[in-house]
Amino acid sequence: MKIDRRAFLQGVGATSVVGTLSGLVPGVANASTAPRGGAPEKLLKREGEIKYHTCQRNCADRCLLKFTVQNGRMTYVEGASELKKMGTAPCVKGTAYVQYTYAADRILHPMERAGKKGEGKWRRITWDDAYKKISDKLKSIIKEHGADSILPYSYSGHEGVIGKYGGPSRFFNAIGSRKLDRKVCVFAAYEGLTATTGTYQGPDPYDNIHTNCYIAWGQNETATNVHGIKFINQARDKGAKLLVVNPMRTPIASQADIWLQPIPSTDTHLATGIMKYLVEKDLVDHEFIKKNTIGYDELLKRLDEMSYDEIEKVTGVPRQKMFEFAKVYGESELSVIRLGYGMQRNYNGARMSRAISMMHAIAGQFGKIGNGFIYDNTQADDSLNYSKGRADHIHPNPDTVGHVNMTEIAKALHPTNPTAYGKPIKPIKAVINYNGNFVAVAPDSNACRRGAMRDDLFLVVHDFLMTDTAELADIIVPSTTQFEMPDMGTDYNWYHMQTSEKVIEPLGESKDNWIFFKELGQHMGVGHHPEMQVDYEQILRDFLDTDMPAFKNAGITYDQIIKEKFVTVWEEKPYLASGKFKTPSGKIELWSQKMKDAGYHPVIDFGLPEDEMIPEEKSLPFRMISPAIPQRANSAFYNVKYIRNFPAYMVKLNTDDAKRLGIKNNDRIKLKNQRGEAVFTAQVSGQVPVGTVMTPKNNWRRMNPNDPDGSTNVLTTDKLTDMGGCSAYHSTRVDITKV
Amino acid sequence: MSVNHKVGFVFRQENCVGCQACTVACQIHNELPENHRFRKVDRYEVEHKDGSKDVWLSHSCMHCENPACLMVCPTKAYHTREDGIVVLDREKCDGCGLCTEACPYSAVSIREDDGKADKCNMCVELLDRGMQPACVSGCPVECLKTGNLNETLKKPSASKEGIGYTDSITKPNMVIIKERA
Repeated sequence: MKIDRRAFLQGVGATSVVGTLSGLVPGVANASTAPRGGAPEKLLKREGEIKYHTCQRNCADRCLLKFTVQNGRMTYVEGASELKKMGTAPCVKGTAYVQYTYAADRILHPMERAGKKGEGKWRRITWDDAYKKISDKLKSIIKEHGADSILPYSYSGHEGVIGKYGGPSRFFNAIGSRKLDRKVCVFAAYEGLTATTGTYQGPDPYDNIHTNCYIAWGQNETATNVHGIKFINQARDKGAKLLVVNPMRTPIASQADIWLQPIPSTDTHLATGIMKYLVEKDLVDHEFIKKNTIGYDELLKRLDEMSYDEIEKVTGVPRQKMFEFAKVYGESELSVIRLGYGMQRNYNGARMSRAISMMHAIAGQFGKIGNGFIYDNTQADDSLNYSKGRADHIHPNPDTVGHVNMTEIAKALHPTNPTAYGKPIKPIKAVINYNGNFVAVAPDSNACRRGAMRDDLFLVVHDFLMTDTAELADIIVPSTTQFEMPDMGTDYNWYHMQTSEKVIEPLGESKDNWIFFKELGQHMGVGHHPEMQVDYEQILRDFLDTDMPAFKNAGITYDQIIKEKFVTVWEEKPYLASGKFKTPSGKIELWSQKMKDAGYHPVIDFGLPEDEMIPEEKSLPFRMISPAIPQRANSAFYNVKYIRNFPAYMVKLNTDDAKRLGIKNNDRIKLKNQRGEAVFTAQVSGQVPVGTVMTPKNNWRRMNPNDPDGSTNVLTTDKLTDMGGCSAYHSTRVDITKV
Repeated sequence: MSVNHKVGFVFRQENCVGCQACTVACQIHNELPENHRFRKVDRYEVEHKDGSKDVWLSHSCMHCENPACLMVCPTKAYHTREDGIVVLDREKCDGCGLCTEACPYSAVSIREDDGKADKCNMCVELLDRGMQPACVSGCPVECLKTGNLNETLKKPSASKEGIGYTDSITKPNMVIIKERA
């Protein structure tokens, strides 16, 4: 008799169990002292040589992992628990890195297309052939159209110092290609935060254990910072409050003392409401404001111009709940905010981020251990010598060559009217795509696909999987995974720089991000540059050739990182305790000339994404947000055993919306707007507010079980943010119908 | 029949974020087929005064004091070790499936690849070497541990009650820790 577990757990199953067990003697039968039933052979995979290697997915945890290698084969991975942030566990995805590396669908030799673009017919070729065909074509493009007709496309498929820029960028600088502005990620908040406090960096997250109040604002730690959660819980165990602001009910939101669920992108209004309350209840830090800010009087005036009625209407957050939040926050001695990257990917991203940091300023929450504002802790990364590491000086015309914003890749590849930043550009004739999969990850995927399919566009893809982009290529060359090359990695949450030892030799005929571009450079006739002849170590040493205090003050050297596996860069501690803010006035600017110059209100600007949508999109009934989920890293892990079956093609919608539309769990739902349509599986819950739907970001159309032509980014906008030229994926609206 | 040093899973449910790392770490250590899981993580929507919230239950074999699997097994493939861990000797299993039906926690299932029952044995091969089960060392939030049950249950925050989990006639040996209101 099968007992339903949940029915059993509700208490009604107990009698059934008695029935089932009647006649049997309860107790320990077959008692034995010998350790039987274990499977010691399962430990064999943990025996071998250990290699320390840093995960290079685009994730703020930047895990340092330990790999076991037996006879040249990677057999096991675990966290490098010597590094405090790690503990013993990788994340759910990193745990499956052996399966990721030895995935059955890896591309292991060069191929050229043997049919029409996208037809799926391939012919195996040799590397010699591949180099000859690629270099002949690129040379003829250069001769006819100029080297600036060649565009690299890449982002965070490999975040290593060599893998991301050190290797590939040398090649593109040497040939003089068009420049790709890689601003998809964090740059709206960079502008909003620097306009206020002069920095987007923050205090050491290890000190979160000392806070009295942790605020996760637009941040889903479970998906993007899971190793930080244990430190939040340590603070909570000592009595700290956990406050969360998120339109999604994230796991942390469910566990919070108070969770506010605003309508997406209304954070400026919410922060304003909290500021009004702090002022009214005199929970602001007058001494801090006097000493460290300018423009407080203008701020007070601006706060008066916005009513609680309007805030409640715009945000959808009941004011009593907002007051409750503001009270706990305002009365906390030490409060630290963790701002997520996702929320600023909106047309008003810079302005929202600024308002939140202003709130933290009038609360006086800077400059002590246990308080501060954490967004992007690039203390290590920003201090590397990027221009030397990438060999920017070998580009023949670095100051005059054109730029393309990666978020606008579809616009740049437009068949008849290519543009960048709203201006016409010279057509692009070749794209070399590596560390990326723009048809899946860039917004307006159908337009990306049309661009990639152009007959007059030569598309080379360096990847280890047949991605949505690779399937449209003229030539595919096999890349290694990050584990098949040596590198280093910089953290952007904790202040670490970590080693990334080569774990195994390249699989099949694959070539890593330096070897491929170094050899292609030789075929292109740019191998004579000394910068194109170096080894991995020299590239790393070039990056580490820096006078920045983060490295100098800590005395960090190349040899030390190699020997000690990880180091911690220097930073002022407590962060910003000096009261020296890197703004024009040297103070926190509650009134900002920078914001005024950008065309916005110099104190608080209440603009919303809907204000900037075309009427056709604005009138659609649902906002669509497309954040990260824990079981994927951007477009990675879609093929990986043990991970790929976790759902990534669902649409979450609110119970009330579902009821109104007659939608149930597991129904197939079509999302549609003027850019395209995609079919996903419905998940009905209170995890999203009424009027908002959520789909995971960057899923592949090739893998969509509901719709081989549909992915999340078919729907997303490629218009840029208010400042910083950042992507604004979440400023997307859709209609939904049951199919 | 009582065992002094009994080991069990100790789960701080209030800190679990449902990431599924425990499930995958277990599958990889145990070299399981992709869709065979010893440990699962279920989401429960729980009503609170100000709306519903998500709570996750990470669960596998409860290593019961009165294991239903052991009692119904005609081939005596199950036994309980001195430390209370219920282990399955797969060589003795003939795949009859009675245990999968008897277990009130859905902790045993028949593997598609060889037709025999399989379940969590708390990674005894690791425990016996002073290491932790794969799920425990694979939890990045550190909310799943193992512990001496008799000691652990003395804590005021410990009980055999949680969301989706309650004590029962089989006397399951997972302890829930609840420190926060």
